[in-house]
Amino acid sequence: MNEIVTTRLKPVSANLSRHKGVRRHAAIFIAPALAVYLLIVIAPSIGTLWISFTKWKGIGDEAKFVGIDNYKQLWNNDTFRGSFGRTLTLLIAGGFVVFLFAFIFTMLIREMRSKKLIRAIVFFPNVVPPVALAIAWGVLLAPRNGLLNEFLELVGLTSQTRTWLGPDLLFRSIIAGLVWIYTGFFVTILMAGVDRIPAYYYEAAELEGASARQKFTRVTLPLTWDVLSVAAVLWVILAIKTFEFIYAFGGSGTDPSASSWTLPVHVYVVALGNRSPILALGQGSAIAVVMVALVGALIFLTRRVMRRAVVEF
Amino acid sequence: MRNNKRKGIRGPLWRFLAVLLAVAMMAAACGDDSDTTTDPPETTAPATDASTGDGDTMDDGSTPDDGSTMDDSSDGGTETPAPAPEPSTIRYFSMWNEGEPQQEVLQASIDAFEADTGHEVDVLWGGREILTSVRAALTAGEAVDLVDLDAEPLVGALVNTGETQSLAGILDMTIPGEDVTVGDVIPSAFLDAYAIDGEPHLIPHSVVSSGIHYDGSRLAELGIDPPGTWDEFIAAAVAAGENAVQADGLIDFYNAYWLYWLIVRHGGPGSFHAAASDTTGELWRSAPMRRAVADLVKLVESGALADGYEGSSYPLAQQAWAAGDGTFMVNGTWLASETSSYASPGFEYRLLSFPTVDGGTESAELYQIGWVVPNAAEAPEAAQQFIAYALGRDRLAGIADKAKNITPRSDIGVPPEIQDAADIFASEPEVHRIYDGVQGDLPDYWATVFLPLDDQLFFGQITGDEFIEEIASATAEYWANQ
Amino acid sequence: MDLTNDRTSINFALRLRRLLIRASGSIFVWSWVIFSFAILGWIIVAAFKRNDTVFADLWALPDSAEVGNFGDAWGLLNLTRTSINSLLTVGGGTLLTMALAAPAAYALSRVGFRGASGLTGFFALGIGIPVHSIIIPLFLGLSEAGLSNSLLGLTITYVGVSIPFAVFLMTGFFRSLPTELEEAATMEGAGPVRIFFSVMLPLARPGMVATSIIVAVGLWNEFLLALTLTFDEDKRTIGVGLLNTFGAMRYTSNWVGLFAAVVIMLAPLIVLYTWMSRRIIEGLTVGATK
Repeated sequence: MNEIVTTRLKPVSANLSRHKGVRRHAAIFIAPALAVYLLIVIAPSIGTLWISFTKWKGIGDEAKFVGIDNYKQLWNNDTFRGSFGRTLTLLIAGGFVVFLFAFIFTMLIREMRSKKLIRAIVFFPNVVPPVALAIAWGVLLAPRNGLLNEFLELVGLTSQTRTWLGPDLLFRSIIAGLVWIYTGFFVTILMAGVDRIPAYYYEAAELEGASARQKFTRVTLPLTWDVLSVAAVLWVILAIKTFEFIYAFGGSGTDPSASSWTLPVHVYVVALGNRSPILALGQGSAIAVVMVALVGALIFLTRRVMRRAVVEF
Repeated sequence: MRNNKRKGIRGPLWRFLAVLLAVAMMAAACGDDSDTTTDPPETTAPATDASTGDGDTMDDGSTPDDGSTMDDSSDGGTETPAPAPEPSTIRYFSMWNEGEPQQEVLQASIDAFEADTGHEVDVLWGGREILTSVRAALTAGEAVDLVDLDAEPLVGALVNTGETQSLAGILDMTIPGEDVTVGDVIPSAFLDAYAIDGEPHLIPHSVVSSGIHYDGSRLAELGIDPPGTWDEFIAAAVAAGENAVQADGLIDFYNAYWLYWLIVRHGGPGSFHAAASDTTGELWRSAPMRRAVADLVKLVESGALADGYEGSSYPLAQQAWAAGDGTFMVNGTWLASETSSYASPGFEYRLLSFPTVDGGTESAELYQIGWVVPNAAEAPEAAQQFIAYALGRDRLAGIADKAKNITPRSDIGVPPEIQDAADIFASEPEVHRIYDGVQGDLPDYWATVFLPLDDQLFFGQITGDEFIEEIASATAEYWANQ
Repeated sequence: MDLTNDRTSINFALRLRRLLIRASGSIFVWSWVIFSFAILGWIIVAAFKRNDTVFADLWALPDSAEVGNFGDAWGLLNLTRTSINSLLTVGGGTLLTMALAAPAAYALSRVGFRGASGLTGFFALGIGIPVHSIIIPLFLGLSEAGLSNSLLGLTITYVGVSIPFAVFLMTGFFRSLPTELEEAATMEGAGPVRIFFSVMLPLARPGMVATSIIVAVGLWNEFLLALTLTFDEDKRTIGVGLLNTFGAMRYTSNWVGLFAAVVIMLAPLIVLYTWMSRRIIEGLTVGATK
């Protein structure tokens, strides 16, 4: 995402970079952050990579090097395939809905007077502890006396009531909860892109009799393309990393059933899980590595797909 | 405007940032001085030399770099070797959260113990995630003297991996204030359950079981006799009307009570464990397994399970059950104390021993909550002393009175809510572990193979035959992968 | 002759359609807003209810306000202790993060040197690494350095895991700043250090405020690292306190107390958010769009 921007803005201060000792200063500026980042994030990541090649139960156990066995076993592991599949479902189906809603929202509130207020409210779930949201979401979707089913009955839609947290719908309900939380986040980001589009573009389009859809495809979409590509990358990261809400929601405080695991939940339960510890650190680490690889690959792919001449305006 | 701001920021902020930077770089680079943010003035001196060696090591109870050794560092220079055993600090990791009745009972014991013996107890009320902290402390090489948790996770995480020490020595200790020893008051059946080479590694303070709970007065109102066999139970459930059997289906290990109990009834104690451990998976195809699965299917198909049970999130179903919506609920004996705050007036807590089956065996589930002493303990004697102390009659009585649990001591009364469970223990000689030990010994299999398939069976998504086929092959696959 | 008439009727139909679209759009937007409000409102109302009614009658308003729930929750959260720890670790972690990330972001975005883009990407990579996948080696490393079970160790960890996102946002900020002042300062012979502190930092203040709030909110809600990296009663943070309270309330069926605890934890966030939401959001968006 940053390449796009850098190529556009090119050398911001070319004269500055010719300044003597600039590299040295850059090093001084960057080194502390880099050092902490390397120590706290990168070094342990390499540690995780190493653990993924071992069988290890943690303290009091000698780690045994097993090469790529853990990865080979994942290949045949139904539970892992389930977690992987659910992660992709969340990423793709959830992503589709989040972006659809975020666009609709952005278009709708663009001209509304209370748009700042609305934006602030829809963004708010993003600052609430996910555990609290998970509890509330569980109460909302409970089969009997749940707020949603009660509401449906109230307005005469009794036939539409469902066992929302039953095995068939549970994961979809989780996705719905995440859509609710993250739509606000992406509304915020997309709106920032839309706000930068000069109003006269829309006025001109309107004068030429463009429909709402035409305005969207001819004006909004091309002019927010770079913002959209950043948003897409952020979604990839968020969707694959999301943990607390799914964990707290699926199990009401204990490890959730394997039928609602995603990759991060799987890593947690297998490597750290609290009640009946499995302590398969090698396997957990292998899943974590797969996960990070997935993030990296998808970011690369997203950027490839989204790469396109940026419209200057 | 801008000029003013610029000036304002240059002076103090620059210096402030510089200091922060310096601190961060120092910490990141060498990272020895562990307490600067919390307690700047005091700690600089002792922290570094802890690593170099025996400057201030006592025989036991001194940890290298932590707050708990305040005594050591405070009398700094004086190198007097402490007079032999005397007061030590017990580092105690407990599964209870502050505010739970068990915590209050144990806290009272700790306070009295400290006053009576002079030992200090440094306790972490860590909640059910306590093992995370225990493992972290062990990994960091810190003292862990006493851990208090329910037996199965303890066994899986610490006892089976050889991290705990034998507590045989406690049995001969006299309980302070009484003239009996620990061995006199704790039945050997309890101690044997988690013994290694005949020596106990876990000493219980609470005894738990499971079964089918019901409201005695409600059943009488309905004119239904407490069922004894599985078929009688299903008939009673069908007769009891709507939502007869409540279940919080989102908790998979509650759902698992049904099938595990049926397997143990049909195949006897150990049969579930054996099937799970069978590397070919073939044991799942045996006749007792098929009968157990068929019995569970009978319940699922009877329609007695509450509407939407498969999507009920904890604690909605048990709340509804206690409020009078529904008749039966399978759960641990803690259900009474968990639901009492919203039970309907006149609710009479009764417990049904899990129904029997034709040609099956009878045994009781024995589940314990208790203490272990890890090998990494630095004050093991004091920790054992505390266990003997807390088992004192008056102190342990709180587990029954306040926490509504059965205690391992037969001379302590049983709360009326779980009298039935106590009677079951009194009558049945043979006992088995909760979930037949599968959860504790095979946690990976339990979570990734058994529970998901059990849920599908219990929710009626697959037939009994499909279940047998799938679990047999999944079991074989699981073991092939190990 | 009828041409004008025709056009107005077309115009009318068009306008009606547009009006309808706009109306249904408004309904969609406002029901979403109300829904979000309702969820939050439900949590707050539940905090004032009684245990025997909270789940039995989900919709009902409480017949009496059980303020005592907050007393229970306050005690269980051990708020006097945990809030101090949280302030120390979250506050210290946020300040340090900013102190490290701001100069780094400045150098990455404004001082053109070879490899700047690659290095920016390297920092951004960290956003994608989930914390709990590195927790075990991280813990081993910290305990090796004598920083396990210490608030300082937790603070440094917070800094490390916050740096990627902070650098990512701040590079966006610095890029969005005008170049003229910087150039003028260079003409006057100011070096990069001086330019950074006396020109760029004041200009980037809104961005720094926004970034630090986003970082702080995230750390405030964090519990996994705090739970794993510290294990002393007196080193617990408010996030771990909430988790413990969740446990205690769950096993003693004191659900209203749990909601009260959530409200207590939310309160400073709500205040901060109503006060600063515009800045937070603008900060976030500049980082993402530039």
